[in-house]
Amino acid sequence: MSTSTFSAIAAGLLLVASSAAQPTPPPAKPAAPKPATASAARVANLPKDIVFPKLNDVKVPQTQRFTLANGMTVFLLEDHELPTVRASALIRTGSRYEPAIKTGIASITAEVMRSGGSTSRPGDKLDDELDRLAANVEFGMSRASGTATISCLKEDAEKAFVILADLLQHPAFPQDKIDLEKQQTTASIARRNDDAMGIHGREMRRLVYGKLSPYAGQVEYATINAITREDLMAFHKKYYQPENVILGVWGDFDAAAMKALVERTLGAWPKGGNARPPVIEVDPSLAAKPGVYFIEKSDVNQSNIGIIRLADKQNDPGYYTNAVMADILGGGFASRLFNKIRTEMGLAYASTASYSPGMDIPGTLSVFIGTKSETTMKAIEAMKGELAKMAASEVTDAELKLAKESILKGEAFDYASTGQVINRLMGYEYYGYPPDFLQKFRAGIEKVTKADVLASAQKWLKQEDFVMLVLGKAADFDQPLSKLGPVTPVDISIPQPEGPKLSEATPEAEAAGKALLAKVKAAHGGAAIDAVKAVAQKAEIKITTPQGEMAIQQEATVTTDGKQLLKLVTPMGEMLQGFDGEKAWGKQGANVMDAPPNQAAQAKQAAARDTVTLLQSYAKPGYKVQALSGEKLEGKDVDAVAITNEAAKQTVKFLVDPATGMLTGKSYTGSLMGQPGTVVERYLSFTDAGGIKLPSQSVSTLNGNKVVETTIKEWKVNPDAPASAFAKPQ
Amino acid sequence: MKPTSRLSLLACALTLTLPLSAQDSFAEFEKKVTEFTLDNGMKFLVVERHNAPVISFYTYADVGSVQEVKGITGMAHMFEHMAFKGTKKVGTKNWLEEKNSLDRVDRAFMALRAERDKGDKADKAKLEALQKDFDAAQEGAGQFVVPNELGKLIDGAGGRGLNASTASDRTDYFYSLPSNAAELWFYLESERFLNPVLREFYKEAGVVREERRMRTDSNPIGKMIEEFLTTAYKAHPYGEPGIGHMSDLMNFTRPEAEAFFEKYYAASNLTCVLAGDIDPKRARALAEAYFGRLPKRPKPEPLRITEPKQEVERRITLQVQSQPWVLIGYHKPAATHPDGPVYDAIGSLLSDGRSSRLYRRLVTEKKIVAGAGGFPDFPGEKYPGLFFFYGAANAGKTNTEVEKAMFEEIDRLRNELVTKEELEGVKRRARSSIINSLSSNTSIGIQLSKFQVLTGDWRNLFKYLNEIEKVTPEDVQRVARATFTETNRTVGYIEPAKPAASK
Repeated sequence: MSTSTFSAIAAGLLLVASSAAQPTPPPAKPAAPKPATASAARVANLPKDIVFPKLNDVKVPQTQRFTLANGMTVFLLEDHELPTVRASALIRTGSRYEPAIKTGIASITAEVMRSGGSTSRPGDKLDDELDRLAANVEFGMSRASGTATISCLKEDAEKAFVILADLLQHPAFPQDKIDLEKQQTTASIARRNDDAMGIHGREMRRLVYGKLSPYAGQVEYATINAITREDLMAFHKKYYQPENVILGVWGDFDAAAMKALVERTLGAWPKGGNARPPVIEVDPSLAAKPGVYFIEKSDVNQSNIGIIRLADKQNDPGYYTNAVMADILGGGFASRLFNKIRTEMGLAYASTASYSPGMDIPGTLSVFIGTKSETTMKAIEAMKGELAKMAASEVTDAELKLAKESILKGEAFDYASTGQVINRLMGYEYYGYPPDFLQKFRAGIEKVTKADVLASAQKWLKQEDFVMLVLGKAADFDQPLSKLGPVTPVDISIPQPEGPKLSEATPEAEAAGKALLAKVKAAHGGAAIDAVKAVAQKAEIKITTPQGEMAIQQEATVTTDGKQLLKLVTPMGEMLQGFDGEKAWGKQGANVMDAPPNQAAQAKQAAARDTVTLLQSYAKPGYKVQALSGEKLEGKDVDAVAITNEAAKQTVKFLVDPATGMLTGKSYTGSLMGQPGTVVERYLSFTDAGGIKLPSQSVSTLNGNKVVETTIKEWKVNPDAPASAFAKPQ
Repeated sequence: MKPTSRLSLLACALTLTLPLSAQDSFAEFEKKVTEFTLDNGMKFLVVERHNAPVISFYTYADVGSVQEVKGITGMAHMFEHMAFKGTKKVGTKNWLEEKNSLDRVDRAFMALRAERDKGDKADKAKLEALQKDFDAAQEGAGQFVVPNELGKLIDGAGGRGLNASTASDRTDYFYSLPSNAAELWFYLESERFLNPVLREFYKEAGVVREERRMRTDSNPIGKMIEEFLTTAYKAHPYGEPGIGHMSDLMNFTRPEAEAFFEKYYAASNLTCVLAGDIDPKRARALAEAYFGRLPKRPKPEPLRITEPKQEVERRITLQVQSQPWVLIGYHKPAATHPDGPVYDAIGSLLSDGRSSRLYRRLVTEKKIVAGAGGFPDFPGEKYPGLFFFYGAANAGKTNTEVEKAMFEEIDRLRNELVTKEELEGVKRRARSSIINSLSSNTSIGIQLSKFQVLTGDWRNLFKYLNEIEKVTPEDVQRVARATFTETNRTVGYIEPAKPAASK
């Protein structure tokens, strides 16, 4: 759960001047002689008057490397500055190896390896112990690798390694921790559309790699539901083996003693013997076609604008040229995008380019701009202008010099932290890069010419190669996005969990189901049911909360062709909500707004579950019917039939009183009050209205908890309900 | 003060009796620190760390958004943006000409603003003409600008991490340079506070308005925090948004920003930490030469506004396109209060790690939240802030349920003594945190400057351990009982804008 999102915002309330990206790290250069200390008591007049001594020597720490008998590679680096020990392991696994229908296995495996403890160390006890020690042992998961980390005071190093070795080899995967992690993941799914920038970044990735790509896989309720304990254990068994691990340890220890500790704890881990997982190549055919894509978000006053395309790898020949090109285009204060769109035009706070080549697969090149809705197209035109400019003529000598110097002169920063040094070496080892790769990069940067940069821009900045994604409130744009060409809307509605799949109905079950439905229809009004086009009702709705009940007066009109109009009187005032069959909208006072994306989806699903509609349509094509046995409601046996609207993918169970044939309840998987789960509606009494019997009092539960009680006060069958009543008011 | 962002007071004249290895760490560390103060009151801390030829520079200006008044909200942050625009020598092609052109821009803006002030009665044609004049004046001034020269000079020297941040009660300016380029920092940073030129002011106000849209207007949580703080505070400026109200961001002027600078950026209000591959003697010589030029100016008047005691619970609900959140805030004394370490201990007990109270109860056992936490000194440390809680409901759970569960944990602190074991964990985590805060030049800059300014002595970073060691279960209960009361709290809900019962 990203409480980090919240605490990052809250604990900071810090307003930083720039969100500019930093340039890519530079490689090493032969050390310069140590300068004499200048005693400058004079003050320079202009910056150019400052005399800089030569760059000081960079001390490259010597890292020890060895391999354990079980195949684990280990790097050690002593650092006695502070009495702490850190360790970090790269593990050959990753979410790219998940089957798509079970997206989430990898990260849940990693999380439960820690939270669930080992077969001899229960998770909660481990939590207590580590927190008391101020020690961390954690597992993480990315697309192309898994991680394990240790952070502790030096006196706890031995204990930490014993724990790490135990968790790696004997994770318990207890069901309660698996369920907890699934629930946490479910919560994050529900929250993934709350933040505009989060939506935009995620969808950019899904476009550039393609929704079906293992590099853009996204957890859904259905994929999480499908994951079993066996799946997690199998994933662990396949990938978590010492041959797949590169471990780095740094901090306040003696290398010989640490080597012995690692051998004693992790060296005892037997080989797994599974083949090394292959690199999964990027399939460009999965990617979205270049063009303009749009996500409507009605509650923002700023647009998120991005363009993105696949790029190359760090070990491709163009890497350093591309790095320089991207830096000049949009890397920071000196860049073209910053200077034009932010400084000169004042249109944006964020205006950056980002070049992220992959290590073993193509990475991406992207540009991001955030501007108020009213200057969306203006900013897009300016951005396109800058890209065209980069590809049309060479950068200036000054720009090239600055880009190269900013990379090359900051070399010392690459060696400023022990952790950084060792993690870089581990990364090179993991991806099969030579250990002197950083030096190669540096040499490459030094050679970059203006002609090189132009060639790079011409190759990589062709506008027709990019996917453009705009997220914002279209109604406020200065010009319609369609001026750029055909616009493809992106649907970000969160797919609701599907119910448990029924097995294929036998002809007998189908016939019995239809017979039961005929009985229900007759009990509720027979032919009068078929004559219904719309039903209007006035209801009092009581919503149960732990603090007591909240009452809402609701007037609802629902048509059998899927339209809805609700008028709600809540403690906050009167609200209208409508659904015209396609779009959902809301109105409060004079304020009319589009409903959030998943509301239309929910309304459609609710329409497909409407009792009268189902009783009219169950025998028509597009519907499947199946009698069920052994169903109960409130402990009493009931007859039951499942009706599936195939197009809407909605299955509803009708629960029928065996004696009277009256509908006594309805159950489905969907959402209640906007929350997903299993809903059961129970009907306590019925009224006659226009020749048909409909529930006048009902109680609804979500996942077994009572949430809503509805009492219908007034009915009208076939009220005057023209289509315009359901359309969004202007 | 917990070294991430908390503060605790140290009683004066403490003798140094620290837990043993922390004492070693402190003794070792103290040897590396040189401090001096210039005649104009500007304070320097130089920390030697020669593991790599780099230096991190951190300037802490004792000024923040609390210094603002209505009409100029957002000014502290605006000035921070301006501090990147250069000086009379950096960022300009011709200062004398530019100076006149900037005055012209101000006049054109104020003329435009005066017509806009007429509201419905404004003459449309006149507005258009004045806008044209204003655009032309800006373009004219723009001819003299060398854009972003300050940033480019730092980039060109191999600098990293150039940025600044504005909080309620402080403004920080920071970046790192290879150590051979140290003099560049002395030059630029002293010039920046000696001769700042607030060029491209009105353009940059447009950038800041975009920042507001990004962080607040178009962000459910940002929006909520703004509403929440306004509700929790009725007098003290902690209740005002640091980013500023949109109308102020549309209307304030360059002369107002200059006045703000004159008033609050006295040399004695600046503290710098230089950490890395630096020779303290050379640093002192350069500091005297460059920063000695800053005039001695009186410290600004202190903020005298105190928030009156809250006597009634305050509640707000924000309906937005977002999943539910609960926020709860209780007024507490400033971080420098003697009970500061107790509040930090409470925060640690509630939120640090999977065994923490909120995680164990609300996430693991009751499965009611996706995440929850509680921590002191929100939005700031210098003045009485809030002890702040947040909770994000799991799917199918309501804010009301989350609030109830959070109150149960808060009440436990009032009604039951915490265990000695839990406090041992708190103390050990505090020690680990302080040790880790010394692991990078940047982190050293952040911690030392904060303790120096807020407590008067950077050494209190270490003495904090003494204070935390002394916290007892009874202290926790006493402070919990005094603070976590119904009339002292503000509660905010983010509710999804959604329909009532579906059919």
